[in-house]
Amino acid sequence: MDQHIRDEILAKRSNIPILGIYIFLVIAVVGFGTFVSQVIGSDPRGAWEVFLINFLFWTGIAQAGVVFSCILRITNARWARPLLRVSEGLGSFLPISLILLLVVFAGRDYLLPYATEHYHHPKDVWLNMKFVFGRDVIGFIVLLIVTSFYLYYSLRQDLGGVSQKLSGIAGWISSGWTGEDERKRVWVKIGKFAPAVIILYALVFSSFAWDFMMSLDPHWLSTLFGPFYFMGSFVAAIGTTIIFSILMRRRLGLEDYLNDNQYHDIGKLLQGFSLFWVYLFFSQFLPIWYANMPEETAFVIKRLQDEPFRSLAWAVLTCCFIFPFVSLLPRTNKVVKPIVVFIASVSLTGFWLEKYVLIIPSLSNTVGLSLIQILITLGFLGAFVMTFLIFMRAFPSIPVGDPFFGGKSGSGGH
Amino acid sequence: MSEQNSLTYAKVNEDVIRMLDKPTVKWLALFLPVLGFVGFGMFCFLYQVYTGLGVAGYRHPVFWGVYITDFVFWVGIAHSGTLISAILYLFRASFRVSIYRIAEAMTVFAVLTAGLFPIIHLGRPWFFYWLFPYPNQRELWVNFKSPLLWDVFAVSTYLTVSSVFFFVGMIPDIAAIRDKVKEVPRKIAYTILSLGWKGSNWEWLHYSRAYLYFAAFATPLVLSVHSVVSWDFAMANLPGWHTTIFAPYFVAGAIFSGLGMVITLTIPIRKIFALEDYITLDNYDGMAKMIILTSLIVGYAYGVEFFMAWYSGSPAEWGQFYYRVTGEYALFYWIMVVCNVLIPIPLWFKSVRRNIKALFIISIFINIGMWFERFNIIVISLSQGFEPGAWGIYKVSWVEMGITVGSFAWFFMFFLIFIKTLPAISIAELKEILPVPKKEAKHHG
Repeated sequence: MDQHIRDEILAKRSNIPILGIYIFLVIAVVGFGTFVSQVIGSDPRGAWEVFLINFLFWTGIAQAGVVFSCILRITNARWARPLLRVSEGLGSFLPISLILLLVVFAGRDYLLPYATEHYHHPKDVWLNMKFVFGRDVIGFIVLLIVTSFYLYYSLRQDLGGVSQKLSGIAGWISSGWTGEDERKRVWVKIGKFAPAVIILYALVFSSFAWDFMMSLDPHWLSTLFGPFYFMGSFVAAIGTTIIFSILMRRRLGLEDYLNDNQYHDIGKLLQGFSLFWVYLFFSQFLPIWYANMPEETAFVIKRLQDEPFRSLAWAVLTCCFIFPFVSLLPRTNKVVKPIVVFIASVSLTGFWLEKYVLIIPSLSNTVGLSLIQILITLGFLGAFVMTFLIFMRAFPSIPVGDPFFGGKSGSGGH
Repeated sequence: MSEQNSLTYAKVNEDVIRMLDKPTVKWLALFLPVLGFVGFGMFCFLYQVYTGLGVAGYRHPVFWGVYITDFVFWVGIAHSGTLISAILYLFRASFRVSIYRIAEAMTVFAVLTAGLFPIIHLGRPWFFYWLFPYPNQRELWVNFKSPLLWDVFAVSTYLTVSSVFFFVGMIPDIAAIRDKVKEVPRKIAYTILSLGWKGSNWEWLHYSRAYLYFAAFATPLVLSVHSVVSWDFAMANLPGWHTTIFAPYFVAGAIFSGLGMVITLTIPIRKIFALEDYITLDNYDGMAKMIILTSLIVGYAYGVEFFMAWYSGSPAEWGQFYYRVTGEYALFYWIMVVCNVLIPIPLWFKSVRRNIKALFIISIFINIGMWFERFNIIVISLSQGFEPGAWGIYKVSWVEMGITVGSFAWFFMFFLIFIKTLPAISIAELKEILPVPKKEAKHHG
């Protein structure tokens, strides 16, 4: 890509307002403060529960954002090149996720029934606290390291060879750039780390799904539960990429790169994967309903048949599948920015509620969100947006060094 | 697609139509033995009808054996066709262009083969039409609650849609052949099949719209058909069968085996007809990557199934999986794991993905591995259910093997007829990715 575009894109990053970062920092701090005040207070249960929901929701999106980028890279998806950096940017939340994961274990007495109860063999082996902690934390750290390598090479490819002097983390990443020869080597590295990220994601997030959602009801199981969580997060990451890229596009003036073609295509992906998500839901529901064995149906009846969760489950189905699937049918709804942002927001809300429906019935049998819980959720949102903005302020918003990036005006094309 | 740059519009027409010349001795040398095996398969079937299903090796408690294995195997093979022609079309993966016609033909013929097995498996095969819901004097109605009936609908829908998709995709190419052939009977046949296609702008406009809609319509079918097949098992309350991962796991396995079969078939065709310019290494590279992905999904499913059987703490469930790994059928289980999970690993290397011989060998192992996967799921689960007093061993009989071999011959028979009568490579779509000819060129097909 020619030098001119590279420098132009790099210059745009300073358009991200520092004030915005501070505002979201304040929101995050308020949320965190609320959480802490509740946890040390007399009734911490509600705060812990919403903490677990948010941990799974935002961590899933953050990692799936990077996975989305990896998939688009290894499938040589030219159309999506301008979107890669935004979806990678979602991964900037991951270091915070690691801390949050440790916090989840601090709240084990409220969140993880198996921390206090004891089971017969083999569950005493698998649901042993030390083993749970070990596999999830180590798995996540390994995934985080591989993800960092992927992001490092992805960013190095774009930062290498810019004419302006870089400082901070961007300066560190681009240091020692040896010229265009290195671009080829970096490209090969990206091709090696991308599949590793995808495979580890499937394994580690399956484990998260089992340990933090499925095993909250230790006598229930579903072999598809892992994919149900990690593919759901993938759909949510597509939705988040749509929303964030549209905001970035306005703020940074990226209209020449992100145009109707990109939104038409990513809108189709959101629609297609919403359908896939409901397929995964149905693949679990149908055999359980049909076989009608009490040890399996108890979990489902609680959520889909009995109030108060039944209405909420319908809301989840509507937000995650029915509404996005139908509303994304016409092309207009995929390319008109406010409309597609609205649809993606509904879908995201649906995935948040999905975590609620999966988790809460196993822990406490009441439905409802207190102001405290809303504040904690906003705190997560604040932290997520804040890390994203910091990332986008540090790095070029478009992968200008990518060999498949086609330059201006959608010539990334088809 | 740089490797196809040496091609021109005229050469594409000539090369594809050249494949339809009079059958050579080589072709006949393949076709006649194939017919012989089909005949042997038919003999086995008639023998079974005459003698009764006892010759099929069915023994208590295993009453689903090789025939159902074959059924699931062939439905699986049918999946890559629609995947390549519909899903990859929607994803604009250009590596599909030169192989999709062969894959679609494979789909149609594999469904035709699969459809035989539920009938072969019946005690009174002449009453097969009882499977269809139709008004009758006895006022009997089919059992809509049975997954076996869902199969009837799933497979017949798939056959209809894939046949229409196959045929519609061929119309412009058949018209191109119609314009070239001289002999009167062939001219008449291709004229009828081309439905009066002239290639006008107006026709193309509607055609490409229709093709897009077909692709969008066929895509969910790729998921639904094999999901329904998987539910034949997952609905039943039997250890090793009743598990929620079955639907996506079967779909991934089907695509995996289907791609294996596409590679097994296209490599000899490419060699015999000298199609190296058309079916390029890039095409194989793309397919090999899809194989890696589906192999990983299948491997994940093997692992999770096993893990969950242990985690469940259910003695029947864990007993079943322990038996699969160590019992009388353990050899088959390990063949499955080696062929489907370990042997595709070398495909991670680009040099292997672009090595035709290696690909051919790997693809054959995939076919074997996927056949055994279905055999393991069906037979091992049935032979050790909940009740230890009712356990038993099933041995494959020569009649079943004969019919299985016959089914392969039946599939290849259709395929051999296809490559001699219909355009095996899409002329129209290939031209879309070729450079446009300059004005002085006379042929522009």
